[in-house]
Amino acid sequence: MLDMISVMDPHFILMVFLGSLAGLFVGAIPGLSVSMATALLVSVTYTWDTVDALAMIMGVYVVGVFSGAVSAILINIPGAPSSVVTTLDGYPMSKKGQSYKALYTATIYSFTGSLFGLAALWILAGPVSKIAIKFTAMDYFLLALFGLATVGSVSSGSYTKGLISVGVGLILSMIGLDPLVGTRRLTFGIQNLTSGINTVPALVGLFGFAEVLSVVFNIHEERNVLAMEKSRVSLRETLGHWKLSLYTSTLGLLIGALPGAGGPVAAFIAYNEAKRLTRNPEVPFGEGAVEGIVASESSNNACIGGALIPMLTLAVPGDAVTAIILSVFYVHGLKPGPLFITENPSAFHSILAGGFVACFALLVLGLLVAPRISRVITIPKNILIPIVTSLCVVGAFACNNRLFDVGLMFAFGTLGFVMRRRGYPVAPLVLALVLGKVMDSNFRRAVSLASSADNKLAAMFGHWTTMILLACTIFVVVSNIPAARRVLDKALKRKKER
Amino acid sequence: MKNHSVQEGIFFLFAGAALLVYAVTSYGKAFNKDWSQSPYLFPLMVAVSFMFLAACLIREGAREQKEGARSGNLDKAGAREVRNWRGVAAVLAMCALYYGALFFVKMPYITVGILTFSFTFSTFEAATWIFLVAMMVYMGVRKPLILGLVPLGAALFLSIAFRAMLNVLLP
Repeated sequence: MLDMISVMDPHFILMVFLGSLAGLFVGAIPGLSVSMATALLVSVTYTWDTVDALAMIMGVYVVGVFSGAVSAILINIPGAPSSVVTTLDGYPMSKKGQSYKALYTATIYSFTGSLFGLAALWILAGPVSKIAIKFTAMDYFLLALFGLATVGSVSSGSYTKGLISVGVGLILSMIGLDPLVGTRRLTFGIQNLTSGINTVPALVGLFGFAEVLSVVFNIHEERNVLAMEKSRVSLRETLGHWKLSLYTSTLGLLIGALPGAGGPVAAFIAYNEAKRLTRNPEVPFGEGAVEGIVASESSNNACIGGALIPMLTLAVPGDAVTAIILSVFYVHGLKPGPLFITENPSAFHSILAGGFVACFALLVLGLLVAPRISRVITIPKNILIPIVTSLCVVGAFACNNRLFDVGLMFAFGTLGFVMRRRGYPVAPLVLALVLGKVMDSNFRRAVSLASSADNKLAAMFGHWTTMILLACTIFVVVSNIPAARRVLDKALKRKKER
Repeated sequence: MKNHSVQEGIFFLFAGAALLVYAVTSYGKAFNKDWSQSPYLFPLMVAVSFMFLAACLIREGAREQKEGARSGNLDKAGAREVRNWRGVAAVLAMCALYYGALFFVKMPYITVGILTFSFTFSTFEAATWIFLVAMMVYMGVRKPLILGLVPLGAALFLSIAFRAMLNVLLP
């Protein structure tokens, strides 16, 4: 059973609520992101109790994903990447004077989507862990490879660029002591690099400082906030889309559970499905259809629970934020994996309890505070950005108390910014940075074990889970090769014509 | 029109080749000559894959160049982009100075105590205050009240919140 003491503990609830409040503002202000806030929180929560740290991070995560919709609806700029689709119908609704209705719908369906995802995490984490216990070293390598191949394909226009981003992350993950025998690699005599690249300054740089530079780059592009016109919205009418919400939440959960894919992909797919399924929408899609908001918000919030499943049971993060949360686990001495739930039930329950409490905080904040924060989301960037830069410095320094990490943060921020400008997605780099050492150690372990077997190939790939993972990885890679894609498209076209 | 994909592909090709050379030479110098247990096996694999991807990127770029995919108002967009890049360079220069100040300047710690509450003022607070004023001025803030209060308030808030309340060490 869920640890009810955690749920009822006022201190725990307060920590989740504070995290949720922070998530609401951070997610809603364009230029600040959930990933950035979580990365900064990791450095601050170093000295905290694990349960407090997890409570606050869950608050930021759950509400931060939702609050991206606030700026998406009010100023046509998504506060988070997963809210991009919400702008398609949310902003047109605001232009028609229905911004309150749009926000209300987004809040209700973000709440149901998050609840759905977390309930699925509660139910499915145990069975997935039982399967994961049977995984071999090669399985872990292939699972990570599958995740990286997927994230490379879904996060960029060019698959090659997505994979190059993965490659850069893998190279950076090799810096420091080798995980098996402790040989120094790629340190070039720099003493501070011996322990490898600390993920916290790297993440603060890639998500925080890179965002600062992006805002500086686009400082002249300001948008107007549409006035909030409070109108009566019927809960019954809003809940009328529950079937669509259930379907798109399931989609979001499955896509979120895929290592590498995340909220933005889920929202796009769910939106297209909503378009396909809703034959006669009251308002056409793209012009203010409520169904568009229902699909987008249900799916991207259901992704939260989905993304946590592979992270907790396999130590393979589902998206960038769970990659950051993974580093929180390592910082606090927790080791996610197949045995995590049985060995650390209190941490697992804290995550679940934190998630559920955050869902209710989302509902309260979304209905009461979100409609009133239009002033906050328009804090002038020229005041906000310098302060965020100082916060990045504090966050990078706090993890190891070394100024070297601050320099590293600036370097990663610049790298992240240049990558964004040149069309290279940052998420694959982050996942590769986190997964690189896991891949390296598991691959070599698998090769070493197989080297003494008679049939080396069978020893490496003979297990049924290995074969499935290998087939999935090959499918993802091959289906993204342009020539293979053209053949696939032609075949689908012919089938349609028939 | 410059084709960035080709240039970037060449850069990544060299980076991959450098990693390949590093992996092979390091393996050559190592005591353990078994590739299956070598710490340079993974770098070697990544280097080969990276070079292959770089070659694909060059090919993509070359194809784009052939197809002549170019936008209509490149010059106008290009001029705006140059101005924006200058802004980024200026912010990076300010950050470098801020980092330098935190690294090299050693100020004495001044602790101010009010009843049971104490607050420490040192290099971080001073450097952050100056950095915030400089960056806000650069980003177009001109109101003296904002320039006077916000940077000072933010520096003090960061110091009190992190150093005093959250017990986080500051630079």
